[in-house]
Amino acid sequence: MRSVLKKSDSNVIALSFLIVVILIAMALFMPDRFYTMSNLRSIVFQFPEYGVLAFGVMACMISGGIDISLVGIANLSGVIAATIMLGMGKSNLSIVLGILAALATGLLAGLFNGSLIGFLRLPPMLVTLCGSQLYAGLALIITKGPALNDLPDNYKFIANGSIGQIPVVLFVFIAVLVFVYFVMNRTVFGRQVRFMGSNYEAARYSGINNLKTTLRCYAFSGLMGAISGILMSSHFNSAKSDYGTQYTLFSILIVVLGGVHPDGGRGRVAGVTLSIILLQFITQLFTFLRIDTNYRTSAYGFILISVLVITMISDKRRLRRMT
Amino acid sequence: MENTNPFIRLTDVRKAFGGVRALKGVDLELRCGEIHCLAGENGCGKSTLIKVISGVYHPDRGTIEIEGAVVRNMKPIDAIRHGIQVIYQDFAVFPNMSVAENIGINRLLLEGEKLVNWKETRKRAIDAMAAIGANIDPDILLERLSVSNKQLVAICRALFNNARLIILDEPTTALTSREVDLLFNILRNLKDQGIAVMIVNHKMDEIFRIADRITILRNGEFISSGTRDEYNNARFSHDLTGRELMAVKYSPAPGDFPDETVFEVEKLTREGSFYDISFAVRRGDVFGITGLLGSGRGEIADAIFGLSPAESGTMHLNGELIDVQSIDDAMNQGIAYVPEDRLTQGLFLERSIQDNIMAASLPAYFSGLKLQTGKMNEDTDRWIRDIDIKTNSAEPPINTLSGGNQQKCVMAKWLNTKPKLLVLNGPTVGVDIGSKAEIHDLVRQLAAEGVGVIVISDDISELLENCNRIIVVHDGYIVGRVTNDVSETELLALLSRPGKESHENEVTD
Repeated sequence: MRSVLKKSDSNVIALSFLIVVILIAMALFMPDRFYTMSNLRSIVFQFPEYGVLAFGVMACMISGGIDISLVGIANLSGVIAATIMLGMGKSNLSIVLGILAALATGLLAGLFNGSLIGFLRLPPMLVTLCGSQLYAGLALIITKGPALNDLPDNYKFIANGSIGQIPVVLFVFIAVLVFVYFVMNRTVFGRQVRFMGSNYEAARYSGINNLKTTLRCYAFSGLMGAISGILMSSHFNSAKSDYGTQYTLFSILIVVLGGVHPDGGRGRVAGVTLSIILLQFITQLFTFLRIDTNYRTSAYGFILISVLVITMISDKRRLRRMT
Repeated sequence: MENTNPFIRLTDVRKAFGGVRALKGVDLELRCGEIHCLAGENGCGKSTLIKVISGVYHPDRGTIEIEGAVVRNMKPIDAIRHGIQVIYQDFAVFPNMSVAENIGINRLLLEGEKLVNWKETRKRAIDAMAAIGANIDPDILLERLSVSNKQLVAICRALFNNARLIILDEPTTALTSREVDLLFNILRNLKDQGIAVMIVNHKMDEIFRIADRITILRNGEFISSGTRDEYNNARFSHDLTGRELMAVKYSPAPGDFPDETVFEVEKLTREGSFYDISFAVRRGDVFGITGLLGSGRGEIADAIFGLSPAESGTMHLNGELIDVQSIDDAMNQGIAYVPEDRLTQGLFLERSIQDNIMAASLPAYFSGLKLQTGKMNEDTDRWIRDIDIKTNSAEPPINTLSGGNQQKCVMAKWLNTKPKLLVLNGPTVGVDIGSKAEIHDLVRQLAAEGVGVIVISDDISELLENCNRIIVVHDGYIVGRVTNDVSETELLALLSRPGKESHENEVTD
């Protein structure tokens, strides 16, 4: 236990603590509403689609950049999957092909971001901001505006189906989580992303190919966008160019709250995972308290700024302790 | 000259960073109208002391008196108001502004002016330059000036700000000998105007030429202070290094490697950086490359490591022709590079010691579809033990270590790639004396084991002590090839030989 505590950083402890506080508060004040099977299920149906996005943002932010094009990538992937499935008469083969095409779209879009950032050293913030418009625009061209509705039943099952009481999407999320954890912690690439984000020059001087690492990083992020796009279109039974626009801010909030440092180099999958869960609880709390959606957006923005300020202050403290 | 009032007096100043005690009780007195030399090897606390004087750091203990009055909690702006001006090695100038603007800007900021009278400023800038006999076009952009002229602009700016004390941090590093003469004349001129001048330097001959008084620091401790006449070469180097004699000079054990060449470059050229560079590193050699700042010494290393490849010429490693177009190429051939700027190029400051040591050899630990973390821990611990990195574990971030131990980690990072050729650029810059000796021992040991070793440095005594063969570059050309039995003065003289002409008749011995 002691070694576990020593290993986990203060951020993970703080997040776990907040989650426990919310769980206890729920147990005290609204046990009959929170701890019901239907509520728990509704939670699980919601968070995977933006949780997966957050992993993409996480990788980019650890690498020293950011990816704000992910919602665009998600919608473009979803639209392409939907187009293929509807075009091929909703057969099971069309579902497989649609999913594969969506994943390929995400990878390609990510590679495009990565090559602008890696080859030309353009600022990631600008590249992905423009990217988000580009991908949303492509989706708009394909759909010509309205949503593509009425997707195949087996496709809808991914984000809406359950095995017993457990939503299928939870398994998808866990599979993605294991994959992300493995990539970030057990592969050379995962380490190199951290090195690059920690000190770009020193990474270069250590023989790390920053270009390759950048390309892979944004491709990885794009892949996360595509998975999220599949989950969203499956969830809504519909694909459109502008679903989930609030998820951009939301995923950045999750990642920063999860202890990923905005300057790059630092951040852990465990922190981000806990942060995803915490944010879902907070959303749930807002719903129970009947807080107007219009207020929520500014509340999330406020939380994000607070976390950034806290990060800055604790950085300064740490620096002062060291000198 | 009669003016011997102390301008600033520091008594028993102490400053610690975390556990590292950078200043352990330093006394320093700088008088008006004197040139004072602060001498000490790298890592002796010189830069910390400058920052204390200029108000950047607050001492943990000790007092600062300026013109007889104790000053507490001095901030940089207070120091400037007292007339303390520091000229750092990079001169902190604005390259895209004109000479006159550079000279005038701080004063404007200081006086809180809202409107700028450029005509007046320009005139006053010209006066400031005339006062020290500098003759520079006030309207030219600063980036177009030579290093020496940039320095003069920085000095003019200091004067323009009513300097009472001017501190120059290693002002001669990038200068040719003629420019050094010019600088020294200007400094003497300042002294005659009653300004206190402190130069930070560790080149003995220059110090004896210019200094009225000398203060020597070693390892953060105050060692001695006195007039120039109180020092001779022997006392000076003893106080500076703490050693009676210079250590034994390196020479490869005879017979170990009979004339085998490890690494050879022929006619290596990159336009604008270096030309026609040829040399051979034999097995057992610690091969030195030296030259002034901007001579091309670092660029040669960059080319060997593939950072910015040479345009023509060949390289052979262990007899095989190698083509290095990228860092990947260099690493695949077994070339390792300890870069010059440890903080920005060598270290991942907030990452752990282990991460730093493993950074260049990660792919070697990837097997069975994942990183073998057990093996990584083992190897890290082995390096910490083998080259004596002073830490209790491999987990703390590397910025908790001293400069010397950080540098050992950078070396461990490269030794872990099992290099055939190790290029070290300024391996002991900012390293304390103890670690410096250990790094030198390690370098010698590697050479003795048959690794090709190239040391690039501007520290003449370091080169003569540790390299058995040395080449000197200037303006990108090799101007001399010597062995380590030449004297420091002879080697220093080579440094400023003009590049291209001298290349045709290199000095060899």
